[in-house]
Amino acid sequence: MSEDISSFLKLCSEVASASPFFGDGERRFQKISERGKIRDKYQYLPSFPREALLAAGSGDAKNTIKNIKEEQFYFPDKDFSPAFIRNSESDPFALAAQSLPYQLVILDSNQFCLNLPEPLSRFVILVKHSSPVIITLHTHSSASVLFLLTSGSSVKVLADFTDSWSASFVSLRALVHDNASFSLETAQAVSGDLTIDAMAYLTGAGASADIASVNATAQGNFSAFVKIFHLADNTSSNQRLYSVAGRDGHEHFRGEIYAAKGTAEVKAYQVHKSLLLDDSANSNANPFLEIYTDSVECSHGSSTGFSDDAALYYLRARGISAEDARSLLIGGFVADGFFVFKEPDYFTTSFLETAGTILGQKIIISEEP
Amino acid sequence: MNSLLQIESLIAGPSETNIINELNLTIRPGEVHVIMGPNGAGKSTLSAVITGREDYPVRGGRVYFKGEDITQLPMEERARRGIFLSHQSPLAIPGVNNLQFLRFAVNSHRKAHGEDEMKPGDFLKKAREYMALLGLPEDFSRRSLNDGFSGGEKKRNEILQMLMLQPDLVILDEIDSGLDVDGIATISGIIKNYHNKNRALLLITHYQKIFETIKPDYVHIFAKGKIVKTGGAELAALVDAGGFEQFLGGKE
Ligand SMILES: Nc1ncnc2c1ncn2[C@@H]1O[C@H](COP(=O)(O)OP(=O)(O)O)[C@@H](O)[C@H]1O
Ligand SMILES: [Mg+2]
Repeated sequence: MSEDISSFLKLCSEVASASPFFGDGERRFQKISERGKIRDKYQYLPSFPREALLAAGSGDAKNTIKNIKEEQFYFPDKDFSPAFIRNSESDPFALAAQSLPYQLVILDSNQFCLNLPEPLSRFVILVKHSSPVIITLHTHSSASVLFLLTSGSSVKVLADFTDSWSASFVSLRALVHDNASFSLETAQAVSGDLTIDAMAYLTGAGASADIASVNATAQGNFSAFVKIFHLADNTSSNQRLYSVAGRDGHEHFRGEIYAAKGTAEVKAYQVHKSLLLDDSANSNANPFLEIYTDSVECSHGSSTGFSDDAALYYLRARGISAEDARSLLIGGFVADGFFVFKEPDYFTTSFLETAGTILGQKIIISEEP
Repeated sequence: MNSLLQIESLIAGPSETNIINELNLTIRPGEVHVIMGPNGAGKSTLSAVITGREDYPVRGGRVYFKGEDITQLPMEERARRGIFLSHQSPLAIPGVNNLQFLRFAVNSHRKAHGEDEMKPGDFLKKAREYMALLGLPEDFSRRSLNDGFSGGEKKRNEILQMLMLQPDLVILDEIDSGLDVDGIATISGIIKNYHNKNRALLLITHYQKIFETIKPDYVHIFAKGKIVKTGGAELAALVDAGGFEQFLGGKE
């Protein structure tokens, strides 16, 4: 391991042990549908790797370290995926999570495809590449990934969890150092229960985090927990989540913004919108602001709308059938959600198809002719 | 000559309120009708009922268009047969592209008339031509439907839709609101050119400015759910001079 990486890891482990926020969210409620009822279930995450960081900082040998330089695509080692302990007397998630090793990946390549092994995996990805890095992320099951962004680095994570198994819980953490930028773009159609739990710690001046998401849910729960910690000056964040819920689709959003005492020039924005297509669909949004500084520009807004009659009438008044009008309006909502994506093309085609299928509703995105 | 639009004893309005109450109106091809009336009288409600809005159900009477009973006809079908409303406050629909929506609308009309879809190139050429005529900026093709448009741009966009869809009955609900003096002159010139002996206009307005270009054949005073007086252009001058009170037959 090179000198700069080990010193960076050392710094990370210091932050990990010093920060009161670190490790927050290791045990989270997940919304689970059971026989038509929604209930809260404690989900044991493959937990946030505080100890992993500490170990990495000291170069602990039992952990695999992969140094990715040339390979464009990388698939983790087979033996790295422990057997899923089914029908365990105690909670299988808890057992598996505790016994899991983590894998540290040092990334020095500007494209990286992380196909997380099943059923549970823990990853630490250290990004040291100076040009923007794109990481595509897939998992079928629960997973935990920590992104470490060195000074000035830039990462775009593109994640589509459409194929996730029911009751998947994805925990993403980003530690963003000075002038580094972290962006997470995610879009999926969910008919089971999926929770995305994303937190970014903006620990250095000029750090930024953008989280944008477009989801479709029917006969299931989609939960997004997002928390951004502004721990340094001049940090900025954007959260923008759009969700369409069809029959028996439930969307839960908890969006938090934390701005630490003494920080200056903090900018934090949050937008959440949901569109309900059916009487049995619902959405609940909980924005939380913990602002301990005066030097902050902050906004948040949430709106929930039923498929809009006035808009349907406008389109139909021009001769467009009710069915096409609905497709266009849902497409309009979705397009508005994808608007801030830097890599929308990665998602749109498959999203329109899979979302259309689970919602039982054709979705038409009307692009400039 | 046969009527284009014929409304007989119409009773309609939102949720059990008969904002339109026993209204009669006949419009023949080539005519220009004007409806004036106090704020909140129900003029916009009337225009919405004519387009077939389901949240303004009809509780009595009949509506005929080109001789056929359309009282129960869905909105989109009425539009395809040639009824067009330029809305008083056109709705913004973020995410739905302005021109792609219009192309959809044009093709819905064509399909209903058994015609092929318009070629994308032909559509764009025509739309651009009309956009230039209306003084709409080029970037209109990129923007979402009425989203972030100024009041005047929204009204021009309605007229763009009219020009592309070529309706026979054009209802203009306060086309002059949101437009400046020059805008009113441009738009009324375009509407005057559009109007011909087969097409009829129904103008809902408070001002006579537009009459300088478009000469009304009939002016109706609308109050208490019906037309209380019908006359020529001179009626508009009376309204200007003395308000609506004179037509209401005493205070309530
Ligand atoms: N959807 C609705 N539900 C209840 N009342 C309505 C609705 N739409 C319009 N109204 C009422 O109907 C009346 C007529 O409105 P409108 O047709 O807009 O009047 P005008 O166009 O003549 O100014 C007003 O009192 C208005 O508040
Ligand atoms: Mg009105």
